[in-house]
Amino acid sequence: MIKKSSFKAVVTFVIALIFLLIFKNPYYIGVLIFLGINLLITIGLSLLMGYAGQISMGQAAFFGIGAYTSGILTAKFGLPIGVSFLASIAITVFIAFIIGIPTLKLKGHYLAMATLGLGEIVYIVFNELIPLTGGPSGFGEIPVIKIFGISLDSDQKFYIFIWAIVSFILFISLNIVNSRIGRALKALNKSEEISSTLGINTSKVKLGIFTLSAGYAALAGFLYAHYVTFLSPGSFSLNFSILLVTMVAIGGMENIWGAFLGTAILTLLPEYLRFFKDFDILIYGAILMSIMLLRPEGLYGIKIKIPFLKKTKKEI
Amino acid sequence: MTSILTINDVSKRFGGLKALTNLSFEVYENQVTAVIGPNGAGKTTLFNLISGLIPIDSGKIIFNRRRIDHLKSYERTKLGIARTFQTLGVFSNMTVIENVMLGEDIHAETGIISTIFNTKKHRKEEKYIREKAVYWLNRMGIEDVKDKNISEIAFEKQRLVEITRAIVSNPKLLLLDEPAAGLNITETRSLISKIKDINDSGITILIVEHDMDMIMEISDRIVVLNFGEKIAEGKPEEIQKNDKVISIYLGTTY
Repeated sequence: MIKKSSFKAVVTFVIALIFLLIFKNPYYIGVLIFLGINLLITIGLSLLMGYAGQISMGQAAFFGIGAYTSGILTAKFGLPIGVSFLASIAITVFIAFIIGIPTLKLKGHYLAMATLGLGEIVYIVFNELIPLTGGPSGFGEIPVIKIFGISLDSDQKFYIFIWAIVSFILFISLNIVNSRIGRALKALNKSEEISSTLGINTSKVKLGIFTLSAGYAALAGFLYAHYVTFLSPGSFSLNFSILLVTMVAIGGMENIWGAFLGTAILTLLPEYLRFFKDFDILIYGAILMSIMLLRPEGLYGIKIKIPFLKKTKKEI
Repeated sequence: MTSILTINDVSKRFGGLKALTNLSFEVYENQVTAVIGPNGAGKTTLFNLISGLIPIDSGKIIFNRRRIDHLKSYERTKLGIARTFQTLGVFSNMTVIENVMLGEDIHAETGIISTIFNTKKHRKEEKYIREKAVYWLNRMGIEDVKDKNISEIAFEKQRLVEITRAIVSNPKLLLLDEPAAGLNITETRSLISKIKDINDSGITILIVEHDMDMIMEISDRIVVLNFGEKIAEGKPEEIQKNDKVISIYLGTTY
């Protein structure tokens, strides 16, 4: 077990930069930017699902609240991006906190139900609050991010920015996992009763990690809003929440790198499944089913035997 | 003799079943107190009431001159009550040393920001926690398996890991729920000497156990329960001679 999370984060960033040099094609850069955005959400979801053992069906809603808050505040009210950023994180975290307090005091999957409801409510609000959100057709003219006088107006600049953030989030998440917080999360995943006899305030830890995961999603939403510069409700539906949970599940829940792998597969795969059109959801279903049947712990850490090398090699 | 734990007139029902009825007894500091009784006597219920996993219906539980029966389980642990479980309470998703470190984490002082950024202070504390875990694993004779996943090691060692995890939290009172269950004679002998070692280091022990030889050897005092009521209390030699106790264990009528 290598403990150097800073090293792993830096390596991730360097690999991302190497990809930027290899792929000159702007299409690939765009796909990898979306991979970064998805990763911010799924890393948080992995902490929540794999470590704390709780499922959230509302990550798309937190993603949406983060995006819409910052989008509306900048495009409609002309507030500076720094302010809208803080507001989008604060509002999302606050909503998660309010939902988390009652549901996380209970044992079992009440969080999944509550967040499922939240997802629907938020989706309806995005559609119906037309003066602010523009309704189903959405709204645009969201400014791009300016940081230290540099405007992130090209895909290349935004790519570097987002992968720096992904690396940073990876750094702090790996630290959390390797600390007493990580141990507490793993413990309460197995048994809340035993954890409480070890002095762990289980509802507090669950609430903390849930709001953190919502905060990550809000950060992703903020970045999405100012990258795409246009928001409509379609990107924040229940389908996206399910897709996020699927990413974490197929990659391997009990490991952040599993979430990384699953997110990479399910972000890149659709690009190759375009000819299936709307049937792509069937392919996801089939993938999820086969993994749950054949390898319920997820793809991460699977050993593939390469006959000529005789050694077993670890994937990724 | 100072009392560290007082069970005062405690009752607990599960629906129509009286699990414990007006139970009162004391646990004295630095002693080993045993609770014995046939299956269904209410021993594990008693442990769950003391550690706060289930609430009491009536009565008082006083620990270290403080009433604790309204406190949450984790708060009682922080006051100095540690426990083990009859069905092992170790975590299969962690290594041996992580399981033990978990027991020390209640004393961790590093703040959340320091933890998130893994600052020097945090690394120092993690190192200290790890070293203390290694020390106790060594003292319990299981240091060799410290980096193995808990599910890979023998049952006896898993049980020792659970006990070690309880000790490293520096408890004043340790509750052991049938620690010898599933162990063979040699393993039980070795467990007895380890429990004595723990007791000698200043930790008061309350133990539930079916192995009578073990109970008679390690206990200073014994409380006997039957159908949720206390039927006898005293030194091991007194209990061995007690007619009521003999009758419930051997089925003699009187």
